[in-house]
Amino acid sequence: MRRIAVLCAATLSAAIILAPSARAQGFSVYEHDPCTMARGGAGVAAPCAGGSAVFFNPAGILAAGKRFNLEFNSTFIQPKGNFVDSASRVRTDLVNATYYVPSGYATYQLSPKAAVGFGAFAPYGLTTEWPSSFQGRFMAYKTVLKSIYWQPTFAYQVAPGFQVGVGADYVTASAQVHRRVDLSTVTVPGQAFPFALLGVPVGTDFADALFDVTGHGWGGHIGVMWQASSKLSFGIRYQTQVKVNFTGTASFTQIATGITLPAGNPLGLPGGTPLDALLTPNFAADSLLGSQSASTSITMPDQLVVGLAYKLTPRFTVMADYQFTGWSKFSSLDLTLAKAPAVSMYENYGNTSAFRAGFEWNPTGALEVRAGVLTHNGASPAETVTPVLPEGQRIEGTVGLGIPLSDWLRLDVAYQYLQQAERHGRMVDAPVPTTALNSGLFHFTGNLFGASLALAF
Amino acid sequence: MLSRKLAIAALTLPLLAACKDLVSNETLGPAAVPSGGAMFATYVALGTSISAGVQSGGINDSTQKQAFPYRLATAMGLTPGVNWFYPSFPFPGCTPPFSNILTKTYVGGTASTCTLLNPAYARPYQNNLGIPSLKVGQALNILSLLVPATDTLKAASFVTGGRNPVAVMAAAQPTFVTVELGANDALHAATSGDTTQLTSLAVFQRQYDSLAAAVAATGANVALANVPNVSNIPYITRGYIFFCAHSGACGSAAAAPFSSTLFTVDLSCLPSSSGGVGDKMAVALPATATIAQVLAGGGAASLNCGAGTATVTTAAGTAPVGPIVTVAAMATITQRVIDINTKIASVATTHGWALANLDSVLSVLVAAGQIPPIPNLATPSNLFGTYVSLDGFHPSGAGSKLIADAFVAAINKKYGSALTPP
Repeated sequence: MRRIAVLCAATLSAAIILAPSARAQGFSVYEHDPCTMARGGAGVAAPCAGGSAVFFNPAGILAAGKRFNLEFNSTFIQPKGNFVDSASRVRTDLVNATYYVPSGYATYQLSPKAAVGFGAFAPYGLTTEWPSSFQGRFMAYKTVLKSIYWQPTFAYQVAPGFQVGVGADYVTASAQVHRRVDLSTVTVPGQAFPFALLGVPVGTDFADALFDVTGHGWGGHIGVMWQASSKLSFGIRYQTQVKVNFTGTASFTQIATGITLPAGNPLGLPGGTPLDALLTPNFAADSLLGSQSASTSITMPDQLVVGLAYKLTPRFTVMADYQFTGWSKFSSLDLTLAKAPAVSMYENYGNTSAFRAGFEWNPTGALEVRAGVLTHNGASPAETVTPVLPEGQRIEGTVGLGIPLSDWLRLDVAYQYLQQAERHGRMVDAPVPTTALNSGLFHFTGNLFGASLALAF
Repeated sequence: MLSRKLAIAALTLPLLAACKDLVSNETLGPAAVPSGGAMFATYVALGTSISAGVQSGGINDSTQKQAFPYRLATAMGLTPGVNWFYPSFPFPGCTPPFSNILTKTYVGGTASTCTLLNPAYARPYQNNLGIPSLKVGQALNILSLLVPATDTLKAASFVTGGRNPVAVMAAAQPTFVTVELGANDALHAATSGDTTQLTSLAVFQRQYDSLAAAVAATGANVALANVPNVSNIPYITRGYIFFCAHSGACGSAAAAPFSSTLFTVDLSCLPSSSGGVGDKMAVALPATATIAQVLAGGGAASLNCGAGTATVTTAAGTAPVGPIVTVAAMATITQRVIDINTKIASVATTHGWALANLDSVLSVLVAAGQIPPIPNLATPSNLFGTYVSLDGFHPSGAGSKLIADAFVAAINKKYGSALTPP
């Protein structure tokens, strides 16, 4: 028992330390277990054994397997994407990286009718990184959102074949936005017009900004499973929205523009005056671009999933889920700063629907073969496709295996390919919703790899 | 058996899912190629006020749209404001053009002020880098633009934000460049009569080589322009014209107010064919206007072409007027223009670039009598004819069209394009 406790603690600690980074529909992540991942994410009516039911259907932890289940998952996400400028046809690739998303679960059967569980997973998060010379750098060249849901869960069999699970979600989150500041958009000191109208070219970097904030919030999770017959089961789960209030700091680092004012300049300064020297005082501690407090809030949307599972044969089960995600809550990303002007990014996301289908085949009674497909629409409207998160409609295919290593240890692996529709997007902030500023095409694909070890006693 | 078939069928689903066509892709469509050809995809104009679109001593969006780079871009199939950008100065301008240079009144009735750039044209780079007063060396180093602070100088700082024009040109990654530079290395000497305003030939040659190297480094196709003979600009009037207007001895009747008996024109103002030097020197517009004004007011005036002097006499006394371009200065300036054009032609040949002959454009107009030999002072709205604007040296809209035509002819000849004169 002590060994189990140590394993449990190690699993959850890993989930804390290795914070998630990923990107998917909106900025949601659904790959929290390679078993479910290999089924195309379907399984609300038949969660995988091992403990991931804490996320995929809290009612399912009653059927998690043996009395004590412990599962640790690793998902590796390799996004591939680029932006092609429609005028110049210049292509800029996303920074090549692999993002690691861990999750962990533990369940314990109190009795045949009751179970408790605990999970740490990251249903929302993203990392989008472009080269710092990217033309969209004035919106963001690196955006990182990490959220961890810590969910204690309780499930109870209300009636034979009918069980209910509930959980409380404590959410810890952090966000970083790296962006450049364009001098041409800054108002000339003492004047009512920006530097652009003095001829400072659009796209003149003069500051590197970092917004670094953390926050937390509370939510809930409920699930229901109904075993309608020996072959057919239904499931439904609802995870509430969670509003996370973030606070932290904004810091600005000066970047030399190299611009020297010509004689006769409209500022009335001597020819040869370095513009950078004029700007430097703005970066002093108590000045506009000195280090300062920053805050924002982001609502992690609610999710409603309904689905069914049907055993075509005793060794072959098919599953299908429908998922609703309330992305309409994400209307804007507003950063409030103590001294510098607030940053507001119009988003106006729409609710999304995802359809997932998969199967699980157990040809030998041991090895499990899984595959699935899923598709969903994009959350962002045409006027909000930006380098911060250039998401859109996707179709994805999955395959995977479940491999029993011993009577108490199982290995699951999965692979997922992601194909996103190519979408037009913009590179600059838009003061009002418009597609008129869309200036190129985003292309995005992804390869995801998942592996887990599950212990059952 | 059933489960095996189902499994095989289901395993094909991921393969289908990987099919790119299953999502609704948006597309960029074929790359936009200007109707003139791919070589014109990104056209940048380096140049002087002629490229910028200065007319009648000022510049605004209206005059900018008449400048040859705008016309040339249109001929290339580019769309200003879409894939070709210029630093647009809204009405009335920066500075506003003169409506009457003699009375110093401006279009829009405003004083000499600068409007700011049109925000819609604030861009990462501009395609028209024409900058008023720019000399070749200043295209390489804008800070050497040492003309005292004036409004046209402010325009220079607006166009590139203080960055060197060649650097901004390179940042635009041009596929085609026109270079219309060199006139200001001689023009100020012609308008002031001061040959110290000339860029020395050695310096010009070195700077033009550096400029050419910077342009060549972009890999763009290039069209250079030579420099009009600045002694042909109507801002300056040959001395013999005054003699003719005064005496009526040149086959035309004497013309008021120069026919006044109070106007003394020295015999040195006869043309050289008659033993004078009146065709080898010139009087600049301010002096011409002052002489005319004084004579019309009943005062007296004198002009000595050999000495290079002019005076006016009023109730306040006798005072010299100018500028006068002396015989020696005119010879120096004319030779310098010839040398500058020789250098430009040499660079064009060396690099295999097109050469637009702007010198010929002005010479043809002079020979055809399209440039008034003396300003039409009685009609200030048409001082210098159809092809020269009210400042006496910048082309009018019609003049700019001729310049654009010259570029089109040179480009088509060198690069085999089929641009239609705009």
